[in-house]
Amino acid sequence: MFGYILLGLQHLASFENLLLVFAGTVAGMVVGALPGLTATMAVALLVPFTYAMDPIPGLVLLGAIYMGCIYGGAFSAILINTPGTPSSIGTTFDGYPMACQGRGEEAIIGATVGSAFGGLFGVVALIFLSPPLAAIALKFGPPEYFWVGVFGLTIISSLAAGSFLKGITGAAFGVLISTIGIAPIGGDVRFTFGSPAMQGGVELIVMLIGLFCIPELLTIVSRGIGKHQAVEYRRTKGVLWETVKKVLSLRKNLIRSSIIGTVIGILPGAGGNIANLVSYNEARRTSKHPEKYGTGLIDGVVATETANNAVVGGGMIPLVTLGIPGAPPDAIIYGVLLLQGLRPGPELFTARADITYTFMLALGLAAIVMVPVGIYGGRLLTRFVASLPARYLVPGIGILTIIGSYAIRNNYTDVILMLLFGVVGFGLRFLGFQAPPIVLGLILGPIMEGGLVQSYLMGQAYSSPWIALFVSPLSWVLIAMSAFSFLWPYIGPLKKMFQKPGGITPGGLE
Amino acid sequence: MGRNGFLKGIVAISVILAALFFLAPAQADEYPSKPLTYIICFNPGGESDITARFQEQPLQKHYKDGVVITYKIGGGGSVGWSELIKSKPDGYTIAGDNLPHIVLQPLTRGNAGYNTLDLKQVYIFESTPNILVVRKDSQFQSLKELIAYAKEKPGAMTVGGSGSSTANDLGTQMLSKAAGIKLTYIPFTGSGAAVPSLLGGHVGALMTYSTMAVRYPGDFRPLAIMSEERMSVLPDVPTFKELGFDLVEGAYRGVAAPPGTPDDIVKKIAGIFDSVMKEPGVIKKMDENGFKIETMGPEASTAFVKKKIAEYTVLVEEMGLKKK
Amino acid sequence: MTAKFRDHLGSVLLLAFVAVLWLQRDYITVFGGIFPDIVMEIMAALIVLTVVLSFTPYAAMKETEGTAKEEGKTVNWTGLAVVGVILLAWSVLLRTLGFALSGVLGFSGISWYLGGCRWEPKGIAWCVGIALAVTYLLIFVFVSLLRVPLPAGTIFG
Repeated sequence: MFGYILLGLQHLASFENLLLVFAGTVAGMVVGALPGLTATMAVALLVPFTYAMDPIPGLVLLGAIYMGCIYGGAFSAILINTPGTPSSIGTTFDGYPMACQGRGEEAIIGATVGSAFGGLFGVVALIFLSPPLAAIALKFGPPEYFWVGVFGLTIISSLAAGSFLKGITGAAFGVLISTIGIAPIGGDVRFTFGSPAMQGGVELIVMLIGLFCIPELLTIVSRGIGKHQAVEYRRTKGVLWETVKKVLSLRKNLIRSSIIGTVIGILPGAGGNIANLVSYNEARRTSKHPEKYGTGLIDGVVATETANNAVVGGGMIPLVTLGIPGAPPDAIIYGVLLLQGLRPGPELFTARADITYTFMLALGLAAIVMVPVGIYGGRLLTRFVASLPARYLVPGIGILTIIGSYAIRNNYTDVILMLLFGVVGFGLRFLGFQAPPIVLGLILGPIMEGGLVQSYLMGQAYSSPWIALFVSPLSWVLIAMSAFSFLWPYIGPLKKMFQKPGGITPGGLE
Repeated sequence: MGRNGFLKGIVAISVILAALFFLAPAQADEYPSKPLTYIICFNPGGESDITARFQEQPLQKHYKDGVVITYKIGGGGSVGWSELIKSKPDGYTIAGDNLPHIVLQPLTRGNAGYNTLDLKQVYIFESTPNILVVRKDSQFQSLKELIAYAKEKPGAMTVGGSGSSTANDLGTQMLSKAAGIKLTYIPFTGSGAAVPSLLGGHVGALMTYSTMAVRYPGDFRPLAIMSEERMSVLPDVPTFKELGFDLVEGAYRGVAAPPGTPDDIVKKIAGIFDSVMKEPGVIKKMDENGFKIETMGPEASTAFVKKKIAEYTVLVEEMGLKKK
Repeated sequence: MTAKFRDHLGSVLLLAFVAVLWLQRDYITVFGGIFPDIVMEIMAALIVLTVVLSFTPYAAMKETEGTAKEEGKTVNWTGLAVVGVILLAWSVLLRTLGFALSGVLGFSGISWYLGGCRWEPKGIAWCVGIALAVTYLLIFVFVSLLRVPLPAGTIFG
């Protein structure tokens, strides 16, 4: 195997490939930073350019773009409170408050180091641990996916700044929105209000931009026309090395988040979009000062960005071993592999090892390249956004959101939906319902529904079809994890309840 | 300058610039003289996308101004097709279309946003017959054994496939009916999503497309294929016909143009696709990946679609899928 | 706007949403309905629970944390309304006017309203100029470089 790695390094070290890694990473970062443009789109758009290339350079380019894109989402999450890609939703929780406090540069550095670490971790797992990890992925069937969805919902306690009850209601709202369109099982047309345009359902990006970006724009406007903008920039000397050292000292956070990202990445269809949220939740849960999360703690940014870049490597694992894409961009890369006549499986690691290992190493290199580019570019970007007056920032973001929501499906209805969600989101924020649980509901809805109904069908052989949900040991593990995650916030006060005969203090159950 | 002047100023400048940018130059007589917009109605990485990618480069030889592949995903394809029928019928916008989807959707949904015959058939270039596969280590060595098991335990035999009201779904129902057994069909979102379920042992078998069987030769054991004859890339797989069941079904993919596209332009597009599909490079890639090449031009494909409409209308009534 | 009022308003609106969907139910197969029905029932229950709890001191305490940050800031309703209307008009007109035209109009409209352009040729030219530059830069990047078609506008044929 190490022979192959050397072979890959040799190929990678060519001028052409190095240039492609650099260009791809930068291009990916730019695309990722633009709200509404996803990694999937970026990769899909660049496939035609790879026809003119040999397989190695083509794949190297696509891989670099993918890695850069997932990282790029952090920029807009931190600076304008809109995740540039869905995998950066969690970065807004602490990243944006940091930017508002003038510590935007610190946040970007944290995101950069975290992303690089996570990206490398995922690639290492890809190179060395693919077969066993892929085997784990196969154990997840419909019942397991349902419980993964349920587990995802228990995270809400971390996401809902405020009332947990409202968080769950918001998530239910999101789940209901996800049912609009064609039912995954049975093909029923649901809740389209008679309009064929709604048969496609509500696209995640549309709701994401609508719920995060538009209320933010409206808030900037509502604070007073022409007044200074939300994000400040304070020039502090030496912040770079200080922050880097600080982030690297968060060893547990980095490693745990990377593992979470890799593992969730290998589950096809579970979506790297969830990885950053689960990681955030775990970081908060195991922290000594959970209440600081959400106020601008760099640990939060590190947790989310590390996890989402680990998904890049993790998602490739089922792709190269079994031919099953772990995430949508992998499906496109799979198409490119097929075009080049490459078949996923053992053959890819032996006969065509030159292509495979070069590709994997390119991913790793991209993760490293992100660091200087991101830190330098991030500084410039922070300064730029902080100095833009509202009268340019607001329409600027407005035009980007319109492009973003249109471009995802070339659909005019999406743009109007995006604005609708924007207004609704603004109103809901006002009424105490935050955006993250709603978006989480939208993401998890199809996963849960698919798992639930497929399990019901699988259970036809049993006396009650629902038994299928509880049959496998993996399901039990997931159920236990969900229960634990759900009850965790209450364990502390429960303990207090037993220690102090005085009862629960009002603020204690938060 | 008052408010009116200001607005007028903006509108004037913008109109001029926008017009300059987007007004098409006077059209040359010879088709093709503009880029081709090739709409794909399914997710990137799926069969429709892969086929289009195989065709993209050869098509660019004919469309000198370029071929632009765009995605309009949603509703199992219905969003893209309902957009297509509103597009300009000048022959520069086409969409990949699939049977049985374009027939079943309007039949079962009441209002799918388009009518089957609104889509002007240009060419049907490939099909992927349904194939029934089990895992290599499965207890079933042949179709007969699977049917016997299903007879013993009605409903216990789970068969996964891609989507509801698709070829996989229909195929499973047709098999159940023909063999007098009760198979439980479990839909997944896309053929790719069903594969881990089989490999992980969560379903007993898959009724999937031939392309999937070709991708996993070491893990799957195909039991039978729903085509007229054996496929060259899967020589050891008997057809259902050979085994006594007259079942021929699968997904057919082609391209369609908006209604009202002039017939001669449709013929030209068909001619281009015909020569593309006859290129040796394309043939090789399609065969290798398990696609069966079809070469149905405008008249043949329209007749084929009409035939399928008649067939499926009866089936839908029988299976009770029609929207009330 | 007390916390309690917000709770009630939110609950009423969401309950109305659930009711609208509930009345829209029209399932062909049994599978189409299993999941949404369950979720709607759970959501309705949660909403009722919120309302009930809002009458107890227990819930009110939870609420003040979230809403305290919102109080005390004057909200510029007119500004919100205007920008909202411009954005809405922009998206509706996207189809007819095309991205270029609607982009320039929308961008300069918002920019002007937020105090960008003074009433002199130089100020207006600057305003519109930036709008043009941004719009056409984006068109270049998307349409020419990335080959993502942006709306061309139906009035242009």
